[in-house]
Amino acid sequence: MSADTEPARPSAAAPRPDLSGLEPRPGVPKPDPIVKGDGIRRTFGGLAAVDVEHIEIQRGVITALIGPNGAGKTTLFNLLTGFDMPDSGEWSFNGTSLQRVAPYKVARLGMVRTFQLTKVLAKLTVIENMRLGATGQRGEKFWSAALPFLWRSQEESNTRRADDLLARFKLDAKREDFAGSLSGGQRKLLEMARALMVDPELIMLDEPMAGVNPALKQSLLGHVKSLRDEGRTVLFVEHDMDMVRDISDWVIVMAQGQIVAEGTPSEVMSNPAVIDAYLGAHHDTDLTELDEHELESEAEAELDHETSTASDEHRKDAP
Amino acid sequence: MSATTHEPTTAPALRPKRTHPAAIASAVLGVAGLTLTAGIASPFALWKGKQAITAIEADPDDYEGRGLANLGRVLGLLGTVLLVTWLVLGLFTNVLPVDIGQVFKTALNQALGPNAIVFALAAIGLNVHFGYTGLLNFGQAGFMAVGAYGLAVSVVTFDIGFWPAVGISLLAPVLLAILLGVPTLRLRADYLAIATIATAEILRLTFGSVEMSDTLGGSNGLTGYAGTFQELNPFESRLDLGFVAFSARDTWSVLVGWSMVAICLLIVWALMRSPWGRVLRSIREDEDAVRSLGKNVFAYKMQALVLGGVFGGLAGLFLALKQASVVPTDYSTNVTFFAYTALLIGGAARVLGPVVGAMIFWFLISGLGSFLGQATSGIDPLVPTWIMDNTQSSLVRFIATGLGLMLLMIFRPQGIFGDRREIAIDER
Repeated sequence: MSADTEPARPSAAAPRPDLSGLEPRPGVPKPDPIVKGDGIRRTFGGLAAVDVEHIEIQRGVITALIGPNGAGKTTLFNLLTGFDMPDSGEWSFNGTSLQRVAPYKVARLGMVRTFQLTKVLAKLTVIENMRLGATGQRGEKFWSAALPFLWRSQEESNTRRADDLLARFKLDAKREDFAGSLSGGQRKLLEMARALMVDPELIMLDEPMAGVNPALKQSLLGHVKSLRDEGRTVLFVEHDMDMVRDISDWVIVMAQGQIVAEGTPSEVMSNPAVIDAYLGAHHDTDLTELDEHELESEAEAELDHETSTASDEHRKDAP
Repeated sequence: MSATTHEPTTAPALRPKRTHPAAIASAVLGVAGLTLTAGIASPFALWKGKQAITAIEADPDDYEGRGLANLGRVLGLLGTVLLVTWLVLGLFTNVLPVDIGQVFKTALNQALGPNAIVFALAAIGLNVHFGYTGLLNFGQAGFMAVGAYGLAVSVVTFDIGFWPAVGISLLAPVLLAILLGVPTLRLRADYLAIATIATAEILRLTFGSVEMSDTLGGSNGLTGYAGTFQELNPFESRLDLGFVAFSARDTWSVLVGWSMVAICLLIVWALMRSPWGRVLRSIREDEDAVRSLGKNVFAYKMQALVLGGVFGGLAGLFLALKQASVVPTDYSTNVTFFAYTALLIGGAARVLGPVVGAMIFWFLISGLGSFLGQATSGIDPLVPTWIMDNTQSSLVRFIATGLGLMLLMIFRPQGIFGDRREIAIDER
């Protein structure tokens, strides 16, 4: 195996770039992009799952990638991290082209992802899961593996780092448990903590909130913010609008494989195209504030319409 | 051995009653105890029956099958009486035409002898492949064959010295692993299984082919390459320790063989406790997760395939040395499956698992073979000929061993050394 390159440690909190002045249009150039992509296209049969003309991800901020189901968000994740091959397109990370670069090399460059369906290593303990994340381990090379004196000190420092992270993510009580025995939310936490063991510059979270209970959600939000505050770049896919509004600095909206809108959360939420395509008419109002009678009558009218058309069809079917 | 734990039942009112699995197991074991296994399965039938009754009484709304469980218990009791009777009669009297002491001696001889060593080595290789890395190699016989033929062909056909030939025999499985791994390790696991089993068969048929019999010996195989190994033998007389006895030649083979096993175990132990071993176990769990953390999964799988293949090659090399001849039929696919059986008996992903498994496997196979052989031979055999005759008895032992494997999977799916908690995770 080639020598592992230690990813550059993110420099601690430079002043956060202000994106509010940027023009809110798809593919807008950012002041300091960490990821740049052009003409990325991936088709499954006749369906273009991803067809992105231009995308830039700003360094040092939290970018949210939103869009309805099937919009191609996860496919774009897979393409950017090398887990899937595009039909065409090119993209770069920190200026390094990532075309046809294997996933493990992408991770070593400092671009680490998590998965929508968490991938914890069920039959390894939590701490072993964490230790696996550390890069450049001497003990992971075949010829030095059998000689513990070559890797013991490194293993110890990795374990200390892992324990710190476990404490930060409140998983220290589960240290010696099998990862397979954790709950869904704890698995999300473990996956995020494990990704941090790689010390990534860009961390890509695929639906970090899915299946997490509300109490844990708040602390997860805090964790994601703290990633940015230590100087990392975060890109995440999410359906939870509260989370998007709460923590993201920039939002990219995808629909049917394309980027349809970009902007700060408030800009995107007020963009009529986005509202129609994705959020629905009442996205910004609390349900209790709406006129209940109006809603009820709307619903009834809809029901009446449906039953009448259904019975119409029924009549048509009858001989 | 821990009893099966009960999952907490959810919403009992909504679930139809079902027969408790232990009740079925008990009845099956009871029948098996009185027929095929000459009572050996019967105590287990008793035990499972009791377990089923307890479970049914604790949860009468959920489970039924009391009748089956009782049947299992009655049959189990009868079988246990039968088992105890023939054991006592066989060991302490001459009433039975079967010498139980001899049966145990034969069984122990095989469990500690050269055959067990061959399968222990092959199973250690499979443990690295399947147990730790999750690579489904169904062609371990192929790795054994190239190890054995690497030695024999080099010495007999090409007439290079014995020691360089041993080197070639160790190198051949490395090449085979790389050849197999490059196209298949990037694919899904089942493709490796198909590719390896096919390769093992291709190798066996090639080694036995008429066209290449000048070089490879054809179906008669090759002999006359193990002289150096036999000359090194320091033993001059037969070794008899009372419970086991080996000829001078076998004593030498057994000494060398168990030393090889010990070295292999040491290597596996040292590697699997290291971060390298941790990466392998992680690949077994989820390779994409390992990829996402910056590990070159392909390289690790290749290293595992090579390492396990070399252990397989050592098994072949040892087989070739101990019997001083290589014959293609020794490397058929059932060798692979016997090695897998040994691995599963002992417990996969445990250092000692494959060795203990191989010993138990050979103990059972040869003990049953000896017992059934004696029980069906003579003018007035213990087992009447209308049940089975002498030629059939050598096959019945495999049926009984299969049954034993089933028992193991029911009572201890993780094998002898396995960790029950790991199996519990699979059930979630």
